[in-house]
This record gives sequence, structure tokens and C-alpha cells, in this order.
Amino acid sequence: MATRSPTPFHNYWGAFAGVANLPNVNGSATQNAALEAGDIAYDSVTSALQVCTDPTLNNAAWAPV
Amino acid sequence: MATKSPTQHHSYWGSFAGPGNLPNEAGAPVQDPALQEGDIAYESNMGVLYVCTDATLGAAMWAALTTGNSGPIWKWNETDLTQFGADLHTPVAGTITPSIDSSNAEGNRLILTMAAFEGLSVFPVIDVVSFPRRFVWFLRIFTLPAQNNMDGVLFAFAHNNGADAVYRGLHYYRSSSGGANYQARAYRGGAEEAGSPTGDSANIVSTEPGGWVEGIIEREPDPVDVSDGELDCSVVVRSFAAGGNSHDGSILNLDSIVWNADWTGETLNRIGYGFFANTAQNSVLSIASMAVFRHPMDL
Repeated sequence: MATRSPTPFHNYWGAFAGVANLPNVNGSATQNAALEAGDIAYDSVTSALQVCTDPTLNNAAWAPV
Repeated sequence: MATKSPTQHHSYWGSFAGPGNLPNEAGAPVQDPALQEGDIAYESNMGVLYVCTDATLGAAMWAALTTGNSGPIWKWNETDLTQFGADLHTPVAGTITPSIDSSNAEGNRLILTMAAFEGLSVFPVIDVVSFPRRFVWFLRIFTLPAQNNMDGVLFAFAHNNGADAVYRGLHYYRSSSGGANYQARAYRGGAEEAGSPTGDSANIVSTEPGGWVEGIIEREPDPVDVSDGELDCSVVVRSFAAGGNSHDGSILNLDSIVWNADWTGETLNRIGYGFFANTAQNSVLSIASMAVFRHPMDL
């Protein structure tokens, strides 16, 4: 377990019901310019952790871990 | 969203360009004794999330958690010429004119028409790409050059150095002897790469539906195999016919090229389709698809 954080910021965006609702995905209710490639989120529908590969607003891409 | 953290710490180290730059890797600029097994980081070139499996300073190991950009690094859109830029290299004489043939039910083809062409020409891809250490290219050729010995084709990986870019790539061409024999060579800046073998390939069909050519390129030494002092870079080319003669479906035994062509540190950020002709040529080449992929064993 990490005993020291490498940066003040973590990359976890929380759980979302379906890939379509992940942050910055086209049509998703969550649109946030702070999203970065490498950020992660959990899709509770498929029970899959997802990593953001493209954070573009309204056009983000996520890949399952 | 999490409403309570199990610890006050998180394990994410951020984004790094290239797996060799992940924290505590040998040679990586970030060396930090705080790194622990289980920490994660993102590699932005290929879009891969990594987990640290060995945090040793200067010798850390990271394992990929995702497949990253499993799609092509670059692929012709098979629609138009918008992905290609102006000719990077002024030929000795003549012209090569690209166009689109949309008369085929199975899809469009890129037509490259040579008129009294002599010298070297490369049509660069506009997209600037970042090549991984090991990658694969595919090319489906239909109409092959009609002339022998001088009519070459080249899938090039080029620096973007302006009018006379420096090329690294593969030379795939028709030889002068033995009828429609084709050969593959490594190619470097206007001449064959030193050490490129010279054996002939088997025949390849020169009429429809053409054939596939593919190459596997390892352009930098394997990071886990540098201790022997050998570069161990390699290019392997193979092809198969897709119909029209007795070689249907066969592997055509194009030369497997293995040579020490270390491209480490070179900014290979352009690709294109090129030609090389020693004397003036009038010919036509048609291509159905072109693509470059990350090799699944890229490390």
C-alpha cells in the first residue's frame, strides 16, 4: 500500500453506471476539463475499471483495465 | 465516487511519455525511493496504464494493465488523398501523380502513376505519428510495377527534415532477373542499408487480387537484451499471394532481413509511400490498404 503520495492529486473519478456515463464521454452528464489521460473510473454496469485514453470534452475515450 | 479513503495516500504517479520513462526504470529521469510495488502510472505514447511490480531504484519493472491503443498507429482512410502531403523529395526527373480509383466494389485504391519518373520520391503521411520500438506495417498491393530492375516501392519511415528528409525504411522492388521476382531490402537515406541481404524472393502475383506484404520492424534494441553488446534490431518482411497463379495463399519467402540498424533516438515521426527508380519509368501501382500497428510484443 502506498505510504506516500507522489503528487497531491489522485486520478480516480469514482463509479459511473455505464461507459456512456464516464466523464467527458459524448452525451455524458459529467463534463470536466480537469480530466486527463491516465485517469481512472469504475463502470458499475460491467464491473470494469476504466482508464481514460483521451480526455477531450464530449469526445473522451476510455479503455477497460 | 469514493467518500472515504482507506489511507491518506494514493498510488498514481501521473503520465509519462514512453515506457522507458516510468519512475525508477533504468535511465528514467524520475528516480524516487518512495515508489512501491502496486503503484500505477500512465504511458501516454501508447495509452497504457502500468502497475509497478518491482520498485528498485534504477531497475524498476512495470507491467501493462491495458492493451493501450490496439488500433492502428496510422491507417489510410481508403477514401481520399487528404492524409498525404506534398512530395518530400524532388525526383531526378519526371513525376508521380496520386489519384483514387473508386471503381472497385471491395473498396477504393490509391493509384500512383509514374511518368518518366527517375530518382526518389516519397509521399508523406500528414499525421505525425510516434513509433513504438517494435511495430508492424501492412500493405496490400494490386497492380505491381511493370518494369524490371528499377521500379521500386518503399514504405518509408522518415524524418521531417524538409525537402530532403532522411529516410529509414523498407525497399520492396522488382528485380531484373528471373521474371517477376521481387526482393526486399532495408533502405537508408538513398541507398541500401549495409548488411541488407541480397537473396531473391519467390514470384509474387502481379495481377489481381494482388497480395499482402507485411513487415515487422524492431527499430531499437530490446531493453532486456542489450547486455551482450549487440543491437539486435531487425526487420522481417514476408508476403503472400492472394490469387492468380500457383502461389495462391502461399508465403512467398521474401527475405527475412535481420541487420543491426539501430534507429535509437531518431525522431521517426513520419511515414509515407515512396518510389525509387534508377532510370526513367512509366508505370502504375495500385494499393488497397496501408497501415502501421504497434507490435503486440512491443516492450
